[in-house]
Amino acid sequence: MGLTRRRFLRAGSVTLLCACTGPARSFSEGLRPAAVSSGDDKAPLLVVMFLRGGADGLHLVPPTGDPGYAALRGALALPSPLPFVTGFGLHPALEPLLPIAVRGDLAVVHAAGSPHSTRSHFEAQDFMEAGEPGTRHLHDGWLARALGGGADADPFASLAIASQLPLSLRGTGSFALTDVADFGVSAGTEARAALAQLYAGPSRDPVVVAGRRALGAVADLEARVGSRSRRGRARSRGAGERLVQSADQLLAVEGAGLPVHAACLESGGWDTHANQGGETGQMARWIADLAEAVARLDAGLRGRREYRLVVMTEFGRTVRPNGSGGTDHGHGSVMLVVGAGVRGGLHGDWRGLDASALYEGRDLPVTTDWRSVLSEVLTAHLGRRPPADTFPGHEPRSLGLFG
Amino acid sequence: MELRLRERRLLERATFGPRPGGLEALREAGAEAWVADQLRRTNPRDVALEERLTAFPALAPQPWERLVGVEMDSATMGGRPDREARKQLSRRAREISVEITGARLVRAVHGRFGMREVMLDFWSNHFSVFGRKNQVGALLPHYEREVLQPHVLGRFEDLLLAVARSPAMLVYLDNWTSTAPRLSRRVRRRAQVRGRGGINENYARELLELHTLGVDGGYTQDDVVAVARVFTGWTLESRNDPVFRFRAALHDPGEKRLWGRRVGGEGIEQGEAVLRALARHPATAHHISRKLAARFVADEPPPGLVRRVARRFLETEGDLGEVVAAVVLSPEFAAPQHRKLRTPVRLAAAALRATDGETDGSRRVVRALGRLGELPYASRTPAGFPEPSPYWVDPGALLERMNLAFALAGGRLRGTRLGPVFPAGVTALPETRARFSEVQALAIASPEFQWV
Repeated sequence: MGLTRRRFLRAGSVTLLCACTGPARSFSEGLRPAAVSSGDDKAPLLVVMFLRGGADGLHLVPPTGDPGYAALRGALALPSPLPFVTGFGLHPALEPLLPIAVRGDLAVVHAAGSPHSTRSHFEAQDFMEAGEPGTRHLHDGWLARALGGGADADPFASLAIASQLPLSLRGTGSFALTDVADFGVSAGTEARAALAQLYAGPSRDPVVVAGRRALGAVADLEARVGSRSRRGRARSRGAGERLVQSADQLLAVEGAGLPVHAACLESGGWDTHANQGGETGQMARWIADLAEAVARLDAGLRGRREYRLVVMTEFGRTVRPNGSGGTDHGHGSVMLVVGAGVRGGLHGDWRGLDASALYEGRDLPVTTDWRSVLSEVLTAHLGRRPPADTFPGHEPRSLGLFG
Repeated sequence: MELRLRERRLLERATFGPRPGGLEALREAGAEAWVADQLRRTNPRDVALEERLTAFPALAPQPWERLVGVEMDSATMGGRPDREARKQLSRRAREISVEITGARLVRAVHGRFGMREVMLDFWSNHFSVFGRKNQVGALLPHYEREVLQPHVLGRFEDLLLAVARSPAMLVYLDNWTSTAPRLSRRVRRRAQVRGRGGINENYARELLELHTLGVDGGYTQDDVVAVARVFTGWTLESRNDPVFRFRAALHDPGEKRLWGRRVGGEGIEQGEAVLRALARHPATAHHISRKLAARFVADEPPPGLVRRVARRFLETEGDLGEVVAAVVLSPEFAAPQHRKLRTPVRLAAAALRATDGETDGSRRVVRALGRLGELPYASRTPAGFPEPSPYWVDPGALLERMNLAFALAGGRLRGTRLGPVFPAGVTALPETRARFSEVQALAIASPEFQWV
């Protein structure tokens, strides 16, 4: 162990200083105008990033000012995080987000998550995406219900950059794609023409209706984005897994004029049971991917189109490292919200890392229900409260994320 | 006319689809004789299928250590095997899951006793376990071979008891960690119970809601807790030796009341008595009969049919062969107005069978089918995959179905390919100059072929 506890504490206090002189001031300014240029008649875009595997919120947004931080985190305590707000830093790999944070467009909700106690990835993800902890009904997701959709909506009104349609969007009739160049039916021209004929006509058979919509979307995309041969392939490798490539795909689709109103992106490397790493290493690479993806979307959209982006994960991880230099499945984590009208800074209810405040004596507690965060994001995005069945049985608490 | 439809539907719904010549053979035998042959109680030999299944080493009976190829030091329930061993175990569990899934596809496509394969599919979905939870994947060969297969056409009670004792279900629904509350420190140490012990309601709830009575079967939260207490001590020998073991020391000996009545007996007998009572309960008969009618007749089955089948269930004390026969030989089964959608696995298997095709069940076809969202032991909820067609029909799913058809026809899934026959029964194809294999794909991707 090269680093002593004292050195960690000193590193923490440096962060505090930075936080006071740096962007912290802008957070106290409160209300800010929406970061959207006037005269843009495009509807707002909502981007949901799901960090699958359970992202360590204490690594993303370390509570450096907490007296227990250095001792509890041990080798995982970050010696020199980026300044954020008093008492909290940002993981150095989040550097691409600094300009957004300085603008006051980055909100962090700490100790956020699902109140359900499960530590199973698939259960926790399903509950979050279904919008209802403990549910077993997985036929539609929270975002699908919030957006409405239906057969009349444009097939690209919502989409997922993923290999499979995530539960969040199930029920909208929307598509998942990892590469806009691969979206379609891989068959010869003759066969594709015959297929279109098979699904043409006024039949009300739900299979025909769905198939017609699918083939219509394929044709639509070709008309707007151009034929296969003209599209490059190299850039899309890794989309659906790497957020940066997925962000590029989303920008390509959006830029081609498809009327995307909501998009789900995801990445899957957050289950850091071993060798999590500190400011560099395994998790730092995933964090860098997240930050770069957010920064690219911001650069591609800001000033051109009103957008909001929310980052979520199924649960956090143990406060203390395990015996393998990693962390095990925990409870509370963080959520990030970026974009138009966001009140930057730290939100939520931070109760410290004292043993009495921890969930089951080991995890960050959930003090903000994830549904409250998403409800506010949806209200801002839709311009009205989301439908009551978006989060069945949940009464959202007001957080003041937008103003 | 009705007879013709019954014959076709027997192959389309009660097996994974007709093979060339199958319909003629069935007509020659007659529907009732064909059903009787399919439902033979003793496990019939299917030598050609057995030969194909030798390609899946995980299926063979073998000691646990050999199957998973990993030794773990901490032998008991609460002990944590070291991290490397756990990683290796979960990797093996995934591999074994893929094998089991592939083998099921081989069974569906090449099995001679199609009704038996369909019933295996039905019961593994009814008693659903998720192969990716903990080590469940590695427990699947045992679950299929020892728990489900011997009973798919046997008595419901035997099936229910076998599932309750199965390591796969004990782990999947956490019952193996369910103990009496307030165990003494000595007992906890000896049994290496993690934490302070206490009941886990997961299995008890699903036993009542999904496995037997049904959600409207008339039970309360108090009943769930009582059943959970009945099953305390139903656990495993150890992590290293995952076989059923009843541990009296972990069992809650206190009085339990179900539906207002005291549960008799003691120890393991209590659980067995509760399972027998549940298996004979009229609500269970109704719940199982409704699910079978929904599987074979219509997503919303006629109530009169469900009542008749439930009566048969009670009369025969849950003889599943008799119950299934009552469904597929009913007039409703052959009523033209009831359509059923082919789910993704049924679509793929039917396409391969209709063209006299082949599959080796290798990883590639498993992965391709996985994209369509239905594989054995891949349901993320204990309710299994839903049967009603709306769950399976949306534009994205249709695109996947079309691409699957062309991937099969184009030989893009090594080890799995369509045969030389054009699928019988597809009538509405447009004129096209596409190649023969592509016309086959068009038939499989056509709206007509999605329904049976």
